[in-house]
Amino acid sequence: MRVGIKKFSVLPGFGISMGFSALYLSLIVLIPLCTLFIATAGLSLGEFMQIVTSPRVVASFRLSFGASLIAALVNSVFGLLLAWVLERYSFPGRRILDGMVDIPFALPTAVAGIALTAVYAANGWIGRYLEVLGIKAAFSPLGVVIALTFIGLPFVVRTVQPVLKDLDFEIEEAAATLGADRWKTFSMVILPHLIPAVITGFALAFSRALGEYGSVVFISGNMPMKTEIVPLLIITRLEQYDTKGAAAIAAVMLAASFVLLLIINLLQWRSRYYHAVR
Amino acid sequence: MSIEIRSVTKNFGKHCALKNIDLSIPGGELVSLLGPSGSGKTTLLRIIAGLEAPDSGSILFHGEDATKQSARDRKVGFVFQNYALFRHMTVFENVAFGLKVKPRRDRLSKSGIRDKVFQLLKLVQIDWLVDHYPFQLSGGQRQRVALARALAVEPRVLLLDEPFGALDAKVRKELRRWLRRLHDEIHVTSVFVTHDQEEALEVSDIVVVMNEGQIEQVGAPDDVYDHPANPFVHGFLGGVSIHGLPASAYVRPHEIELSRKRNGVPGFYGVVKYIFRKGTTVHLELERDNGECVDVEIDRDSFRDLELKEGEKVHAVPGNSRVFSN
Repeated sequence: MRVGIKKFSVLPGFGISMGFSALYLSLIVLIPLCTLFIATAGLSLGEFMQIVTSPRVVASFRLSFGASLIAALVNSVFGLLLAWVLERYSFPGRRILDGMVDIPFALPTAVAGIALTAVYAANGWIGRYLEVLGIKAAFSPLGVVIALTFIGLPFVVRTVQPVLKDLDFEIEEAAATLGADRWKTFSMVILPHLIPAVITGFALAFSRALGEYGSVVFISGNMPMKTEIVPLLIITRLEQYDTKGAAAIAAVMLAASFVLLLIINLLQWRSRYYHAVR
Repeated sequence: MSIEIRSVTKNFGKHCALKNIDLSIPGGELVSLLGPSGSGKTTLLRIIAGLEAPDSGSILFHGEDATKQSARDRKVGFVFQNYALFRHMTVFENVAFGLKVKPRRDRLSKSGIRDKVFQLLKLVQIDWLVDHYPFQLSGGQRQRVALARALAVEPRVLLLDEPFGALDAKVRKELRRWLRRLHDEIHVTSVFVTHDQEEALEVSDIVVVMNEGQIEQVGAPDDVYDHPANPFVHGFLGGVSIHGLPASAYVRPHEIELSRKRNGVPGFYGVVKYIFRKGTTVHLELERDNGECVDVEIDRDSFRDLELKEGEKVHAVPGNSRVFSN
């Protein structure tokens, strides 16, 4: 008997496809990430701490993580609603609406940023009414949230939709015959099935928002301490040839993202348990 | 709780699923709706449950009009063909669901719910599976959970859609006998849908034979079997028809006697096309001169005595045949 990590499979080519995948992943992901830490390693711990705890950097971390979190939460709620509407009802223009969900994927983010700024600025279509209410949308943290919500929208919709489509209609009928009203049926029967997909969509939207640059820099106004996001700060450092400073900030960002995604995956793993076998 | 169905009609687009159905189901009985697929039996069951609305006609529970009531208010227990268990809930939570969603004023206390769930799980003999998830259960066990869940809300009627359809032959037989005994114990008016005549005849008090959206015959199992109302019922309960002897004769495969020679008795000749051995009996497919195929069932011993082979000619005498006037 042969001994090895490879289990018997009817599909040939495990060795070559695995080897290629590892090479590919290394070139595209692992090696660039390593250089990040290597660049950071040029700093002493004191220097590193000084960079990442300076008020301007901390403020940008707070804004980036805070705004991304809010945007992802908003997208989780409204993305779920949108997916529900698209899957559960048939109405004229449903397919057009369905197609529109993908626009944030397809549109160059800079274009989106300019469009959003035009609409939400104090003299824009929506911005002028918000201004009357005393809300400043563009050139404020709110503007950052708006831009990040825009680019994250498709993630939740597209992850929830197929799950909603596959959902057995009979479980709703079963809940009805057992005396559950619509709200109880939704909250106790339907929602638990959608939660894993919502969490996935949330994680994707959140990660995307953290790294977003193009659409935010227009609408935020980039005021230090107020509306400066981390990716912008990194670019600024690089433009000043401060590679080490940029790398230090990026390393913190990377570590934080990693921890967050780990937590999200654990949550998901737990909520998926009963889905293991159907 | 009796159920009264009055001139119920249901169309799905151009397809007519139910045509003017009248049926009255006495309280406390176990009734089967028997028919081929597409006969409208499941639609009728869903209309009784309130999961589907009839285009016209009405449903009465115990003399009270329930046509406008939603499924939620009808207090019926429904067991779905694929059980429709809540995957994210344990067996306990599944059975407790109907008790937990009641409005606060009629809801049992936590310990009350617990006691009731355990009592039901004992009734369906799976109290040891209380903490399992549906995916950890076998088909038969899921069926029992679905039944316990439906019974938890103390339904006025219990409706079962092909309750044994998804189970293997042995479990099917066990479970349907068990359902019969359970019904004798709890006496809730029950209606179940099946396409299996053996199942309907064995388990139910009343068999309702349906075809193409209409009821062909209603009666006790023996009644329906011994006195089929028309060729369809006869055929669906396993009968064969033989044309031109001189009229059409309807007979059951095991009521046909075979012999090598014609002994002066009226009958017909046929060529043995296929032989299927089926445990204690042997099935033969005979082809008559006019091309008509007739199923015959004889016991193993007579088959051995006849020493028949495929392609040989044999004389068949139908006994106990009935004639239907059209």
